[in-house]
Amino acid sequence: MSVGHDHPGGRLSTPPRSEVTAILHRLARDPGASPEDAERLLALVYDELRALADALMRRERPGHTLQPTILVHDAWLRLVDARGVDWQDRSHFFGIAARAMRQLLVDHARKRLAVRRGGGGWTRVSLSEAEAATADDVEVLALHEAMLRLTAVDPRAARVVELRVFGGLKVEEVAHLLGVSPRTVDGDWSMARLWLKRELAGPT
Amino acid sequence: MIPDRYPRVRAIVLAALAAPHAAREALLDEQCAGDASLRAEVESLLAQESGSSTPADLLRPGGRLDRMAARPPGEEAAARAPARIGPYRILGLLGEGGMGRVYLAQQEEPIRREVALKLVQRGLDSRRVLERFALERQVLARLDHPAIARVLDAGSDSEGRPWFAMELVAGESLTEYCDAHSLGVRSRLELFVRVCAAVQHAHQRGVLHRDLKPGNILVGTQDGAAVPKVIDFGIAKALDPSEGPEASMTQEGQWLGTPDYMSPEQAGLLDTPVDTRSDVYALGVILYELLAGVRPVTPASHFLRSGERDARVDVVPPSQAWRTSVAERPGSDSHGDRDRRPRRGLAGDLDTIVAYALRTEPHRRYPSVEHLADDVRRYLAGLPVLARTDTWWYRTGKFATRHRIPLALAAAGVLWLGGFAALSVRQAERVAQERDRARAAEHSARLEAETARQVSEFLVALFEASEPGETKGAERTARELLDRGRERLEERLVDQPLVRARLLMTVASVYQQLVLLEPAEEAARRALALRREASTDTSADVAESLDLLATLAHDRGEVEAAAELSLEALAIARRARPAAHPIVIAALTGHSTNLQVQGRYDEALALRREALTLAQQVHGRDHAEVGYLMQDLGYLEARSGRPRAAVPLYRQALTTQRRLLGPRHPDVIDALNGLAMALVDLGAHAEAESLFRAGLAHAAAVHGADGPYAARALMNLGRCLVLQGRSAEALPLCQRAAEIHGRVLGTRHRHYASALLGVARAELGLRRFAAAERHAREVLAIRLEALGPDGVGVGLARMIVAAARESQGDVAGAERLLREALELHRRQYPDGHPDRIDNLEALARLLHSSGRADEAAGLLAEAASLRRALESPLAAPSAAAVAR
Repeated sequence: MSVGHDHPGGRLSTPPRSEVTAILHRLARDPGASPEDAERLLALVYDELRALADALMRRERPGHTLQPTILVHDAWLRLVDARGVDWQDRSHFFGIAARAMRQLLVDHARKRLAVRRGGGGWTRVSLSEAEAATADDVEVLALHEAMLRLTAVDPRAARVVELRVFGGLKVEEVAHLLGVSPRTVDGDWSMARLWLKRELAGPT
Repeated sequence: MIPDRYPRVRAIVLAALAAPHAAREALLDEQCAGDASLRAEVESLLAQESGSSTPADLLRPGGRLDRMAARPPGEEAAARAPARIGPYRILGLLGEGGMGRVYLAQQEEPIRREVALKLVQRGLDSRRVLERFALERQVLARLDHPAIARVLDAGSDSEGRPWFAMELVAGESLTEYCDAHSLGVRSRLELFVRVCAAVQHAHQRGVLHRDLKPGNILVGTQDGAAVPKVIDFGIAKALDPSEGPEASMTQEGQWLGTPDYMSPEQAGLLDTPVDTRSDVYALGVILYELLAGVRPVTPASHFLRSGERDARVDVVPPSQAWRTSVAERPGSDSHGDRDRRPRRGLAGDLDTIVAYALRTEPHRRYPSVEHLADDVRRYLAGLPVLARTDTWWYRTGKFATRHRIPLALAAAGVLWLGGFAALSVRQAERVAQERDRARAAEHSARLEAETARQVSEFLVALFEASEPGETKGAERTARELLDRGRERLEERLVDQPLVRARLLMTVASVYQQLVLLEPAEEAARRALALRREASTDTSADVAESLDLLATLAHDRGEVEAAAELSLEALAIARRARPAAHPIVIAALTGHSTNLQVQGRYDEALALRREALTLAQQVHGRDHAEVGYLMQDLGYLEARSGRPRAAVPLYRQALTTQRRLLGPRHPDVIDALNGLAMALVDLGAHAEAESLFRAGLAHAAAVHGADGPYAARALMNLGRCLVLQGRSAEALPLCQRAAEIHGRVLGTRHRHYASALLGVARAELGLRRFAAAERHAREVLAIRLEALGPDGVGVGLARMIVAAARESQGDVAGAERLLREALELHRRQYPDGHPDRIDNLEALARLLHSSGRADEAAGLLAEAASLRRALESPLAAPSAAAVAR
């Protein structure tokens, strides 16, 4: 499947496919062996996601809300040679991409809010879009901070949210990646949602 | 919260979530065992399950978080899914069926939305499929029912496979839903009746479904209530090769519907046409399945399985089938426990209802879906069902047989377009017999023109009738009337493509007048296609269609596309009609407009003048068209910075047009607006204001206070007020104009930009500099994007930004912006223009106040000479501008 034409006008460089695929293989064989590999992969995926998001922003309207799972999926298609990878590689990739995506959204939201508070640029945002985007940005940051607090009490549940929301992983894939049963993931998900919702609803 | 306690809290919460609602209280009592703070903690979490949350959409069940998580574009689907189909971006696979795959897809233009996209895999002739769909399309467009999912679009992919884009419906199939929610018989019947209402709605509008089955009826949940939606309306017909004039083959082996739900006539087992009662039959099978849990053996399904043609297969009554099916599945009661009483009734009235719907001969079934639904309702209300009363049945059956008229006709109601069309067809036929082909074509062209004239008049009459005050209580909008007209057109003239094209063009023009750009484009494109396919020379007509399409592109703000289309139209028109001819005039005018939008005023003026000369030859001096062209020339003169030349042209145009068109005609409102604008440029603000107010009143009366005409009048009135220093009055007017344009035309349209610039100018006057700058920058961005760096009004937007920057203390930034604007204005308006003069004066003022008087003087001298050249009465006070 060709993805190239999916980003017309986007000045995307050639993605470092073979490197990403190789790192994934190494990680899949022994996840703990090389922390540098994981770091390197995170950086590569983050850069790719940002390039994709920027291309999307240029092409689409500036106030556009990024859809994490689709973006992550695009990054997967661009970064990984699908013929050479298996299901485990995929889980690892999306596990890392979820973190990168969350970071990207948070950075993005912070930047936009900062701009709107008085920085330059971004003049192409129209009134209604600016309002919508602001609401989204505030939401993203609030969710991010609530997730940080959740991590303190229930790190796995927070990770489940990250993997599902920012990585687009299915329950089974999350279960596999975290080495728990799908049932546990379901429980984490239900609990995290209630917990985050209460957290975001206001001061406890 | 105490972190140590979290595991305990979590365990109790998850246990409570898993427990039935009724048992929760007891569970909490037991688990929390008197620990009040533990209990409070648990309850505060459980309370989130249903309560509304602050980030409204993010965390509620089914909200954004869930949707984000629930939409992993699975790699299996992606591996096979194309990245795009037509204009849609494929996001994932929704399902797969016998006909093909259904994808989740995103539409990006003209609006962003997600749709269900059905890609048909069968080896069908997609051109024919699309032709049939095109014929059906307008009919489908009028289906507007909450329980019908709309078919939005169709096309074929690169491999020639047809696809259909549909409203995205979240839900399960009817039978899955009923089983999953353990609905009792009563709830099932209530749901069924709602499905019937949707099908009946379509039947009343001449649309059969032809492939009704539980899988095409999706049930979702909204606010806890079941919401059914019927999908795929019109698709079975488009996919049926036996539809349309090319049908010749036998019906066998070409089934498109699902045989299990198919009527005997649809399966070709009876020699009767497919009509509404075929859908009644399918609904009968669905009702059967809902009640009995299994599908009946019907003649069609029997034929498919055994190859035996037997239209008289006995259908086992659902009550008996129910017993059997329950016996086969001991312990599983898929119909819920609460509602045993109605099921006992199965043997009686419900059996009868189903049996009547499933009669083999169409004329012995319920004559309409409504009759079927009525009987189900009567059953639900405890009334005797009518299917049992044989005399009623006999009478209705007889009636239906005797009065069997084509469905489309029955649904038609008023046949106004049909009248004209039939007349023209008959005459054209006679003519064709009498004369040779060429003369017949010429003659029929005249007939077509006559037809169009009549239709136009009729439409105008319709719109006048929709003006408030002239209708007496009838709440019909112009759009409704027009849609109805277009629908009529669909049913006529299939064999008269050129007459049909003519009528489509008429309809398209009126849509365009009403700023309903999408249906206008659709109609015009179809007309163009019909004309291009014609075997005779239709180049003048092709030019006409291109011209209208150019106008529509222009209306959408697609400047370059519009100019390309209009240039093509003009070239074709000149070739087709060397002498003075209305189509050449129209093409000249159209292309002139598109050049004008790009700021090429001199070329635009030359084309308009040529058009005026031709128009006077063709029409004489006293003609609306001539008045129109004068008005346009007035506009161009004004825009070129010669308001003094514009005013008499406008006044002359207005005299002609008021008399010929009446005071409320859109063109008259236009001319009034133009005259007032020119007066503004001449500094005659008071007269201009009164004209704008008159225009606003007319526009609001004719097109509604929310329409684009009203928006334009508001915007210009606002601008006029700003120029008089009355910004406080102006601001709400401009804001309202921006709001209307933004809503109707979108926030990238140049009209929206103009209105927003009015807002910015008023804000400037009110010393709200930050807001003014923000809005002016937005205008600048829109114009740069739509028109490029040299676009009309780009300089003006920069000037407003500059004014806002300067007022906020950024003199250097303001100077830079003013110089950029001036550079453009000097190139754009070599002969001078109010914008260029204002620009010079603004820059001069800035330089003067920052101590660079010499430089300022040079600019002021330039401004003064330009004013003199423009014969403006404002020439004198130019030097005084510095004093401000």
